[in-house]
Amino acid sequence: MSVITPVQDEARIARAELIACLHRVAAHDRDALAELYRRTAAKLFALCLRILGDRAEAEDVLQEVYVTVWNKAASFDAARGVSPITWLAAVTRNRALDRLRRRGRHFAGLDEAAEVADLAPLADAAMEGSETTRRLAACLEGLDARAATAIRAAFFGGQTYERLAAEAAMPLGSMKSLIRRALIRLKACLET
Amino acid sequence: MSEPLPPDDELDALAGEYALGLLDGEGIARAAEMRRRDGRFDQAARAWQARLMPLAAELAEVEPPAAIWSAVAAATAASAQKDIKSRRLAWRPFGYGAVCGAVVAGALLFLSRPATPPLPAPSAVAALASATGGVFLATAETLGASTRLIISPLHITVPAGKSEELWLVLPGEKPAALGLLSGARAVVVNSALVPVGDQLSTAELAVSLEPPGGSPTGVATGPVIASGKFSTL
Repeated sequence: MSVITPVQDEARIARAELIACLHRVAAHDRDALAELYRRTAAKLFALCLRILGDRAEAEDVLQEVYVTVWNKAASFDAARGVSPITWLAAVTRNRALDRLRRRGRHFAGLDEAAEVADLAPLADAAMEGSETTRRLAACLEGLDARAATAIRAAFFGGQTYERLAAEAAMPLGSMKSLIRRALIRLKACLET
Repeated sequence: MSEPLPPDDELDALAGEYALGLLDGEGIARAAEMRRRDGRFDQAARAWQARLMPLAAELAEVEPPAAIWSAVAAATAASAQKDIKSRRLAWRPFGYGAVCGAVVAGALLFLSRPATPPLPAPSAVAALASATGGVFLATAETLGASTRLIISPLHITVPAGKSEELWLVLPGEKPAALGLLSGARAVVVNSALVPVGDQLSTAELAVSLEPPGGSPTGVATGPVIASGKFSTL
């Protein structure tokens, strides 16, 4: 016996379509790239702007992101349960942080930056449900406020411990302890 | 100095620091080496990336200038496929090649909509290409011992007075009716007939045009407008 019902959950459809889109992009289908851009550019541009704080640079990076996606879409691995939008956001964040470091504001040598940049997410359904976003925000809220601020700063700003400690006028060791404990609490909170 | 954590927490904390980019040069090098050697650490780092990425969804969208798309289009033009025919053939290696069309206007990725629970990962996909250029995209999700299919019609038009019926075709068996599709709406198919896991790659789906209410005989009576096989992910 089978039961067919209308899909209520548009996020699921959007994901299926994005997966299909990325596979067509991997086959170098430009219509698919245009469609992918239409669906995702405004969000990824917001991320570039937030990280770089400079419109011209954000535009450069956004362009790089889609050219990278064009060349690397085949490495998008839905098999691991990676959500397409999480993958795109990770590519964007890595590119933008790479640009930040190159600007010389931040440390980490370029080789090391490249090391970080190939860290593709192992995703569940991150970023597809507003529920996921809401829960992360709630869990961050439950942390020590200094730790939550530091985690956001690191995510969007690429700050290392040294810089975070300097900005918060805290000893380096205290900042490390604070964040490490916050990360463990955050993980536990997200898993409940 | 930071205080020591229990070993499992230690691994997760380091993976989180690495994914966030908190480590300095030497720390990054050490963590990168750990990723290569220790699959568990690699998993943990990727899991952090996924956990944190929803932070990006908090941002309000900003429309980029049109010149960006022109630049992307120019930069990718050289390696693009030249004609639709070859593109269609190129779909095949992926087992599907759906039109990622503008189906659900407003089914936006980064959502400003009511809460939705996390989605199960898709286990297989199939694109049922139709002769008229439309596609039914089928996504399979394995839920314990059963498989659920999500069928999304893209650019499909159905003649008035006809119903689209979905069929499951397994090797050596007669096509089995799964039920009627719902026009332009995506549907969920829950059926014990659909194979689970790798077995799904032996299955084919087909859509036929039937009288309203479906085939009266239990076998397809009208033309098959689309069909396709699953590739497992």
